[in-house]
Amino acid sequence: MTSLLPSRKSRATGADQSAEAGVLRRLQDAGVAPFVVLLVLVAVIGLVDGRFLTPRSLASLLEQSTPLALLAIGQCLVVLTGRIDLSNAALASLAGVLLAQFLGPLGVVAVPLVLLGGALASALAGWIHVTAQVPSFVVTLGALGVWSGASLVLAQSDTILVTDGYQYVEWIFTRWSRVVPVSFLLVLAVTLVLMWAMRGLPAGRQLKAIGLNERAAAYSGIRTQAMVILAFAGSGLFAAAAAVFQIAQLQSAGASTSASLLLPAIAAVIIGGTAISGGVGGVGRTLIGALIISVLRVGLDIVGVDSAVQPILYGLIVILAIAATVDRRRTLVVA
Amino acid sequence: MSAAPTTTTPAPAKPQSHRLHDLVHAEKVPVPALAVLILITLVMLLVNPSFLSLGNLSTLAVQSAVPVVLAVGLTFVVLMGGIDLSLEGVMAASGMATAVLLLNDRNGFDLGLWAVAVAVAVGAALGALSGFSVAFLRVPSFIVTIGTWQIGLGIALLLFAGKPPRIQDAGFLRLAVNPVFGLPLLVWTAVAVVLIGAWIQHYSRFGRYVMVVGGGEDIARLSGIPVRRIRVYGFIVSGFCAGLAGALATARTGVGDVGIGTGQLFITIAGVVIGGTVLTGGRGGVLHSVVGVIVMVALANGMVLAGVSSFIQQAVLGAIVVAAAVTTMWRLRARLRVVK
Amino acid sequence: MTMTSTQTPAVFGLRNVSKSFPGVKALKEVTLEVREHEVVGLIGENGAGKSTLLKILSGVQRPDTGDVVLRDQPVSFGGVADAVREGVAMVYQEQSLLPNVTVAENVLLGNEGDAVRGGVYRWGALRERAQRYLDVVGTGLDAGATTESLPFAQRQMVEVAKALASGERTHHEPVILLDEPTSVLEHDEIEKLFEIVRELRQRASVVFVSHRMNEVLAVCDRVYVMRDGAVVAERNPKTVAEHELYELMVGEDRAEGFYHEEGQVDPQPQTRLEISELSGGHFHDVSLSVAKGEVVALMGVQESGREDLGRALFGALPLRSGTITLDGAPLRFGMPTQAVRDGIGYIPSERKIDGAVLGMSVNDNMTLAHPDQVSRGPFIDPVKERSTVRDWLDRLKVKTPSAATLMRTLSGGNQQKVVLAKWLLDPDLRLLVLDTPTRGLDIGAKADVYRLIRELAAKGLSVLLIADTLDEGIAMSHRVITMKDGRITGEFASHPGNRPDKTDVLARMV
Repeated sequence: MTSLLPSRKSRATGADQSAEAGVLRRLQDAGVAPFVVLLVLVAVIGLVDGRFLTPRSLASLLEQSTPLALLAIGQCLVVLTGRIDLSNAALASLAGVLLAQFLGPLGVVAVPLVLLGGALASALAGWIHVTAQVPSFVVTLGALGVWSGASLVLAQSDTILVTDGYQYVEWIFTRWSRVVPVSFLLVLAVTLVLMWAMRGLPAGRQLKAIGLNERAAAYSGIRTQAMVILAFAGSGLFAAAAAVFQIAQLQSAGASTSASLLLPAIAAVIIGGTAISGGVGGVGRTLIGALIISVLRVGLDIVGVDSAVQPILYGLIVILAIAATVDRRRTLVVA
Repeated sequence: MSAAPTTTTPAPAKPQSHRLHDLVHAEKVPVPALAVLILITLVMLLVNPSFLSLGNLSTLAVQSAVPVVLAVGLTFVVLMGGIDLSLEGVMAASGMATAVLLLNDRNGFDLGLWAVAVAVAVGAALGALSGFSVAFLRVPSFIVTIGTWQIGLGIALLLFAGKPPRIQDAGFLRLAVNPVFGLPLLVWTAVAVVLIGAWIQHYSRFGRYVMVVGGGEDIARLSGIPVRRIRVYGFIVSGFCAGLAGALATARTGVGDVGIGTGQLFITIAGVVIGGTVLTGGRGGVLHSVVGVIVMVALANGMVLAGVSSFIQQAVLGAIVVAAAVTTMWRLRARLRVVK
Repeated sequence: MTMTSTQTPAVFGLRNVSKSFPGVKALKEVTLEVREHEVVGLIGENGAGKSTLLKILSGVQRPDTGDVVLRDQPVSFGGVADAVREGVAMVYQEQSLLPNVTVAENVLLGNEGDAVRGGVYRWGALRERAQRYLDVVGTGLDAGATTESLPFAQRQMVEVAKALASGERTHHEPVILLDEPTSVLEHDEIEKLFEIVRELRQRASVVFVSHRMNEVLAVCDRVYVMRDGAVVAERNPKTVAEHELYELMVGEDRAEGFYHEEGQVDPQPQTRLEISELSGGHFHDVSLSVAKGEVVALMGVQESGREDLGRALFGALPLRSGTITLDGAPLRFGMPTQAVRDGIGYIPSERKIDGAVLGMSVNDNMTLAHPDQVSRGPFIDPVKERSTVRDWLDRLKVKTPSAATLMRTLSGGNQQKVVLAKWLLDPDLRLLVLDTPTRGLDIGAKADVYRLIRELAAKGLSVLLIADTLDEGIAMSHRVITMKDGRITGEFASHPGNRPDKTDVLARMV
């Protein structure tokens, strides 16, 4: 006999009790904390400088955050399995350079080609990591070098201006009814789709299982190697997407356009609440993390902090955020 | 990243005349690295024989000085199964500190060689931060050192303050460039660092315990070895060397440059791996890493002489890092083994 | 149990020590001692409590009640390092030596004394000191060699030397604990080890734990027999009959109802699993078959190869040679994924490490292997999932606040039930390989698992049970197969009312 009121008795009315405890935990699991941090940050900065809170300035903020958000989302997929992709920013630069060169001659087809290329390139790195059983940070560090070198070879030290073909991506950075940024809507839409997919498809749980306990996942018949490679492909796909957005925004691409986004993207993943050891977290939270980092960047400028402080800040944030959330039950040996 | 798995494969060897036997056995002498070095030399003899000219060899020595110093420090971290990605950032910070503390065109400091001491201290402090975070806060080293890399860069940027400080201490600059017994003091400093590093590894308690931690952290802990403290010291040594490297590199260029360390990370890591200091820890050592680094520098040098653009070089170095890691770790593969 | 009056004083021992884990009483008021210059043997079957006892003796764990007594003083070890400092050292089954440093460093690890002055190693002095201990243990051991260049047996000796060296810290003679030291040694190496143990007796006290009856009898001065967490007897190896020891080890039969023997149904005639001359890991040339609906118990001690066989059948271990056929179709596994698809399920012995993802919910754990059973098309159907999961939780009587609870918070027994359910979700499950599925479970949970296995077998599921205890293996199965040193050594039919004799089975295992 079920009752609608939460009951103190266990087992028989377990479903009801879980409803009460579950709401709280579901809130926490859903990443409420970073969301609160974001709101607080926005409020504080708004107090310092009221112009920050105007619709136009907020819209600009959202727009600016999109390439970072895309990189962070891709990184999140990899981090959920317990790995890291150090090459995604460099891959984004390479994708940008390639896209800038081919958007004219190939037209709109260049975009899906570049997206596919990005996915395949990162999948290759993932495949090497999985097959040779070499740590992901080494493989992606080397990949970083290869992609950077390739970008430099193609673009030399210049930035390539996109004239022909810009119209295919120009629309991304328009504003709907003058206010709402299309770019952010796109990213939001993609994030929501991905969140829904991770929850609705077994693959979402499998990714997390791999991050939490890869051996047990393998012993349950999960194709751990294939899934890790898939996660890397996802990272590459999103890195290429970030490049598309960068070109839409800047109308140009250079060898180091996106390179400086590596650490902020990782910081976004961590701040959003995805554990560096994997298994916990998600793309929705990562989006919020990306917003926090963007707001931080703007906020520091408004408050008048030297831009040189930013890398120091990101470095400290990453270290402290991980230190604060490290799950001591899981870490055995940390080197 | 975890400590090395204990291998239980029985070897056919008899335990006699261990010195000669172990010397020839692949682990004690970096045979693969030396083989690659010989290969490069042979190829270059065909492509551009000036590779072996006295002038070029001397250039090689000078070019090797900085990465060799970096490698000595990095070795201690890698021997324990960790990694230090912060080298370039630490170099930036310490290099900039050197530039603004020596006689320069921006401020009134004129500390002479004490500037180097400060630079080294900056490196050691950043290393201590990394080490503490890894050992006590339990944050994985690859991410901590990405963090300290950026922190180092930030410090360099702050000191940079918009305009590159030019060093005007002629005496100091001369030390870096003028030959002593044919090679600049720069190179002899590197040699000294290698010798001290090798001695530490083989004769000091810290050095031996680093090997022990790398060979089996749990066993080490059970025997009462202060594993966490040793970890911190390892990162401090790495930071110290990176700080020194930054000062040396700045001495060469004569100007404070935030990008002073650019490209050194690949060369150093690839060198350490090629030399035989495996990333899982417990194997290899200072001398191995040095040989590996020389191989990498020779490769880079050879590419320049062969007319390869520096952009392609970066891609090649990246690919070599991966190839080196794959080949050295290939035999450790096993079904259901988890490596992240 | 009477304590014989002693001529030599007791050096180390336990007094009324009890130790419990959630739901399980591992040690029940155990009292034993080892005396000066004595080798004491400890025998007992799986689950008797030997490993828990060793853990307490070596300092890994502390007793719940009772005392650990060293040289007439109760002591409390804060950890292994503490125990070693007091001169109690264990020689582990899995090597605890560092492969990449010299033998001398291993022998004197953390105990270098003045061979290291001011942080500087004096290699000559270090090697010399280590060599002293090595020479006691055996000839031909070189303190300067790199440890991994030594063959396994010699590394074993280095471990003994290390244990000896630890005694020097206290200026008393050390107590050396040997945990299954011969399990991977060849015949002549075993003889050498006996010589070493006899040599050790002159300068240390030794506790010798082994499954191999003949060894314990050959080398020990006294023998303790353990059963169900208690020390049930103390005997003199020179005068006791082997058969008496076997009987002491196995004791009385458990109540019949516990194993639901009335539920045992004859297997069907079709052969489901056929293994032919299979080799891999620790097992060689194994051939056996399991019929549809048959429960086959694999009995053996450590290193018998039975665990590896289980893993190999699931694709978790590479095979060297041989064939596996399931329902007539030959199988080739690269990874467990294939085995799962073929309808095989596997429950590993280390549940927390390999079996369950503790950080995920009960629901997610249960649907991990066969998500298709709770899906509609490629997507998970939440309604179907909720009802399927609830159904299994009820059927297996899993005690959990809800399906969303984290696996970590469940008791061991309930965790194991969820892991079992993970495989049962598949209606086409054909073979279940269970590696000590009831280890660490409380009585109630064990009974539930047994009842379940009966029901499943009656419906046609084939089960390969790597049993925890002799009782379990014999009572639950249609056939008992014993393995020793990687090969099959015996086969017994097992029917309710006509079970094989425990001592007969045990004799084939040890």
